[in-house]
Amino acid sequence: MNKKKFVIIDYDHGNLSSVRNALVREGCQVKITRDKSAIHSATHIILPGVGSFSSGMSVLKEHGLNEILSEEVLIKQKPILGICLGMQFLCEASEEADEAQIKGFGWINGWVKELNNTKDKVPHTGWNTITRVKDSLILKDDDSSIISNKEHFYFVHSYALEIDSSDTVFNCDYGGGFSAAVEKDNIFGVQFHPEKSQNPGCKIIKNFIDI
Amino acid sequence: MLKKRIIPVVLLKNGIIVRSKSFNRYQSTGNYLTQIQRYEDWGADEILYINISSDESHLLEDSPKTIGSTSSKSELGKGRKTFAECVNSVAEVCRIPLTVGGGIRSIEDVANYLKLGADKIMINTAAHYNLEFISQIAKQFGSQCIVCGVDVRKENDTWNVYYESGKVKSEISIEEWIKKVQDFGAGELLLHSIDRDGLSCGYDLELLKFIEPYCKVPVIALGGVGQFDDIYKLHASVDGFDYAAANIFHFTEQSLIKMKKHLYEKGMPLRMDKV
Repeated sequence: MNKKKFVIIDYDHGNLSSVRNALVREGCQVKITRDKSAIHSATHIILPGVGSFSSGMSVLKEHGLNEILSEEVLIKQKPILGICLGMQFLCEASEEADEAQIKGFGWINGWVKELNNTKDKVPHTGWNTITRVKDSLILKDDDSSIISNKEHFYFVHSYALEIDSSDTVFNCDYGGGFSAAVEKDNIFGVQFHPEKSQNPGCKIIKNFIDI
Repeated sequence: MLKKRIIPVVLLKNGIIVRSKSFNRYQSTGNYLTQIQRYEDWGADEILYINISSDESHLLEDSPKTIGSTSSKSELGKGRKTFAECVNSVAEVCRIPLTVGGGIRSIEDVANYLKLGADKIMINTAAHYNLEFISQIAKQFGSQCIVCGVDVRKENDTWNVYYESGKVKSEISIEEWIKKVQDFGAGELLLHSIDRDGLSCGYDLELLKFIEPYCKVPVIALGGVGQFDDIYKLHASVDGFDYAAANIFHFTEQSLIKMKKHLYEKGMPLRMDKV
């Protein structure tokens, strides 16, 4: 059993069980929680999420989770992995927000924008490949070679961080192009679902566990 | 590049996987869990897991003697596991997206299946009684988790929309209905030609060509696949679909591997990663 303690932030927005099942398969101790003390005692934080930016962010704030996460991530420097909408929260702001004052955490540079290339169907749903922009700690193979552009990841989303943000490590070519993965110090985000991407996804989860 | 998805549909009747013909004959074909693992190992891109039990006693009997045998309704249904328990067990091992459907009528049902590990929810009949059910799910869980099932039967050169497991005909036209469910927030459609269910006569290409211009969200075609090339025929005739099938995957060892290889070699964009 891995000694590290993982928390999946519970704010009623997501397929939390899928993420938990993926970590359990790797032998991790996992709690789905919004409890402050549980988050304090965790070594790794996962911020999953599906649904809309505004309603998710409002619930995070309602439970004081934005302050708790700021402390854990910025001051204590705990590794955090944002998945899908969870990745979008790490960014500055989103076009999806109904009100301008609903912002993201701003830890990752750039705005979340609507996928707007009209020839592509939205939501972007299914298995797509990604293109490396720079080295990544979690998107790499067991032998530390990079994830190749032949491997597929499962996406399902209508908004995404703009392409080529300064923190982007992988882009994806769909709906005009967007950032598929970001990384900055202890902060990681993936727009796809590693917990639903078979072997390539498991590799990413293992790499995050090893941090 | 986004790949075309090949999606096995798994029908669970009283906890046993069955194959279906014309929505009324069922034959049991396998264990609720091992079949899913097999599909995943064979490169399925997603799983549609549908409960077609007509009552709440959907229990499990997985004894080998029932496999391959044609059973009447009364013989199925003795055993231990509920559909929810099956979903939970499958979700624990499933590393590809899992869509769950059948009998979902309330927000509580949706929340419950998502909690059990489903990634998406397929609804059909409930939307006919209350379109706002779709927007309620979209608001709470996001459009991406709602697959709206649309059952279509061709009658006198018209495509009619049906619900209540093909028993009740809707007055609304297929194109109107498809527009409506998308407007209310469905993130994906499952278009099922129920007159072709289990008949292995190929997808209804006319229907799919007709409705494609009305579909802004991804659409999964279902109903009629009897040969690998039925999928290729749709791909070659009109773009914009993903492909679901059920019966063709039963009874054939490694059916999915063979199918994907065949279609890939014909030039279809598919995910061929080693899994």
